[in-house]
Amino acid sequence: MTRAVSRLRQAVGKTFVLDDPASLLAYESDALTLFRSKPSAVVLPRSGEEVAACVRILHEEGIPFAARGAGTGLSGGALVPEGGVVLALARMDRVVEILPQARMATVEPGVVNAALSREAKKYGLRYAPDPASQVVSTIGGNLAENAGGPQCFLHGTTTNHIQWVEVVLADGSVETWGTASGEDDLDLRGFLVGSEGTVGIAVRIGVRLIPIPEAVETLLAAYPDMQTACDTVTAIVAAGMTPVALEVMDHRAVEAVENSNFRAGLPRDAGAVLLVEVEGDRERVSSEASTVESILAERQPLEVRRAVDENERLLLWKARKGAGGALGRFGPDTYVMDGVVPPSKLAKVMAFVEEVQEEVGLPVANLFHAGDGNIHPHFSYDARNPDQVRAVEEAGARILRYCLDLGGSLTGEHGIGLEKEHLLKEQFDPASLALMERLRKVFNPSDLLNPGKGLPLRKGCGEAFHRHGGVSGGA
Amino acid sequence: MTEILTPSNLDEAEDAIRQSATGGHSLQPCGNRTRIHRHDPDAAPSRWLSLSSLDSILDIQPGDHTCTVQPGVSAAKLDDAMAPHGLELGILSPGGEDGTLGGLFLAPDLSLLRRRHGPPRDQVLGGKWILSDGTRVSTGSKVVKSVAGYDVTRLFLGSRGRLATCVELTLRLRQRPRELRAFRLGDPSTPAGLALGKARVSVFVRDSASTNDPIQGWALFEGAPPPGFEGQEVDLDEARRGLGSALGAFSSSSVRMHLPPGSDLPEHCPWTAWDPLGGQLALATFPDSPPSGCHILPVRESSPWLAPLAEACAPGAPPFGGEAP
Ligand SMILES: Cc1cc2nc3c(=O)[nH]c(=O)nc-3n(C[C@H](O)[C@H](O)[C@H](O)COP(=O)(O)OP(=O)(O)OC[C@H]3O[C@@H](n4cnc5c(N)ncnc54)[C@H](O)[C@@H]3O)c2cc1C
Repeated sequence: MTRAVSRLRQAVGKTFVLDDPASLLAYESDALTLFRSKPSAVVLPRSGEEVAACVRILHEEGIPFAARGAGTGLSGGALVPEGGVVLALARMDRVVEILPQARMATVEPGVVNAALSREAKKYGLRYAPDPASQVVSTIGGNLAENAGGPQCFLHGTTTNHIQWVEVVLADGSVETWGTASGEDDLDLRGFLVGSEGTVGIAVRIGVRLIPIPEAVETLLAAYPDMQTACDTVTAIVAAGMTPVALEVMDHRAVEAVENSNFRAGLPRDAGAVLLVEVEGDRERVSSEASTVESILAERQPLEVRRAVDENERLLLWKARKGAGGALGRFGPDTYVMDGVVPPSKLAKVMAFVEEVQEEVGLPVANLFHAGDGNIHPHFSYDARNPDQVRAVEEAGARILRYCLDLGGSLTGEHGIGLEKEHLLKEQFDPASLALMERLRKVFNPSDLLNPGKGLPLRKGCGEAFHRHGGVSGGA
Repeated sequence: MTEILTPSNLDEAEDAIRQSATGGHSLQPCGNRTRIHRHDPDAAPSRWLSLSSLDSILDIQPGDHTCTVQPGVSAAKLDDAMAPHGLELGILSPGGEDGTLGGLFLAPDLSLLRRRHGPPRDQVLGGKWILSDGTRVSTGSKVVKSVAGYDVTRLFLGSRGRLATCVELTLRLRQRPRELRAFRLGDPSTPAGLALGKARVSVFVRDSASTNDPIQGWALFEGAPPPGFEGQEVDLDEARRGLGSALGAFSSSSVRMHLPPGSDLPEHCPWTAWDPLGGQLALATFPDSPPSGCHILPVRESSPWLAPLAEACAPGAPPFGGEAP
């Protein structure tokens, strides 16, 4: 290892390789704190060339490694097994160019999602995928997880907005996948997006930008219970409305937000609050907002209102996007689940979440991308209590299995990572999983690039990552 | 004359693939072979495996805007089934009548609704496939959002059948426009300004690639066009015929060029159809040097990754689409 560290120092400069225990501590987990694993070194490259040089060294030395953006991942994706090296890409944060006419930008992977939209705004453009973590998470991390967000209901997830990628492969070679038009014969770009950092490291990314709409209307509807809110979502989708976002927050989430700095005057007495945003040209927005408003009014809401101005609109979205963080008041730790069901099954799955919560006895809050059927139950628990850890993991597994029973998926945007690999075999049969494993080997033959993520671990790999709270094995 | 196998169910398809694998034959999956000459002019398998008889619409979930179909279904047949639900597949591509959806999605193709809904591959949520050793696998999911496992669907979709035979597709559906209005456009050198950008679809066509040929253009709007738009309102059928001739031009030209959206037409460009919104041009010939920022499809040399990926899909089995022995 000492030799590898000194070679890495030669490649990126002395100060950009960290190996003192205090610095490494910050890299031992991501936002899924259930898993911890301290790397032996962290490298902070500044360019694609430096990333490639580091990867070549790690490949030659046979040391496992993974890229890391902002570390906001919710499935343990940016962790390396002990002895491994983290390539932290935060210094590669340049928006290289914006081509307003072509509505495209070239960025480095460490560019923060919201920073890209801020730059693009100067040209009347924006980057559509808007994960709630957008003020921190990076385009590289978004690409690796195929991140979604409220606006993805209309605009699609990250994969629909990445045109091409310059990628450093597991042996340090560099290729460009995809084209300026986003199309190619063989869609390696599409295979890379969402591959959880196991196929290659994106060092330069061509993204599509979209125009800032002429008009936007945000509507809020409050219902006495979650079921009515879900039925309303189903009705909006079935009526063929195309809002840009359709988000739900339950009573507990509203309470947390209203007791935090993100307070936005959400109705505290509501069982569930529905946020709907419509965008486009003025005429379309005004007619669609009226139709949505009438659907919202059909199921005896406690309240329906429109944001009166841009300030109120931004306040509502700040509340929605800050809600996850505000849940900290219910317990020292939060376990965020991420499952998908067909939108017509939302009411069913939320009733099941309620049932599970009653059995488990730990508080759960729900805030989710309802239009896509992408649920996010947030369980509050204490990671120091092994019984609680086991309980939330079991609850998570039950809820996700139920999503599968309803024809859905184990994850809509957070990825499989370390957390759900044991469940993947319930979504895919052994032959399909074996195929994925063989495809991974084409790009990552010695499995040094982000080992153990995204696919069922082979025997022995599981021990490489420690579960915080001392619980081992899947639920 | 190359033999064409046309299985009528999944078991027959699997048997055909297994038998070919054991006999060392190469098979090339196909639909009705309406477009393969464009996408894969060099294809010379010992046998074709046509999926055209697997042509059932298996499931429609109008409330969730999804459907599951077999690959032999044509875009026209699916459209007929979607219309009563007020839904449509978000593509407008050549070969809608005779071509199969399998053929449409397995080779990268254009869609005149590309700017609105993305390229054809963005409409596919998942699928079922048979690998060249006869193994059945599934990819993706049946919901509009899933990141479970690798996105093998996208890898297969662009592979022109080289990696897997498609036996089922789950597709995302879109809202059908409620009201359509059609307009004839003037010369593209005086484009109808920014207002054209609000159109649902717009095309320019000319009879041949000669730059002297007259150019005709049409645009469809959902509802009234925005103020400032210049164009003469015409009968919907006339515009549909115009779209049809553009699709025909795209279908008969062997080369397609992508321009970054918003770019001007390159000078002296031998085009026969132009989709200004999607930035797509049908060209008569391969340009000697494509203008910078432009991209030509199909690419002339296939990806060096194709062979190792095919081997990974079915280790030891003859890959789909290989040369006849
Ligand atoms: C409060 C909160 C809210 C969130 N809301 C959302 C949401 O609404 N939608 C959503 O989708 N997610 C959400 N997330 C999850 C997370 O923010 C996303 O997964 C995000 O995309 C991760 O980005 P990151 O930069 O933090 O990546 P990291 O956590 O640093 O890394 C994630 C994965 O990406 C890989 N990676 C990073 N950079 C690269 C690169 N350049 N090339 C290849 N691989 C790379 C890593 O190896 C790792 O596997 C949320 C998280 C939090 C904490």
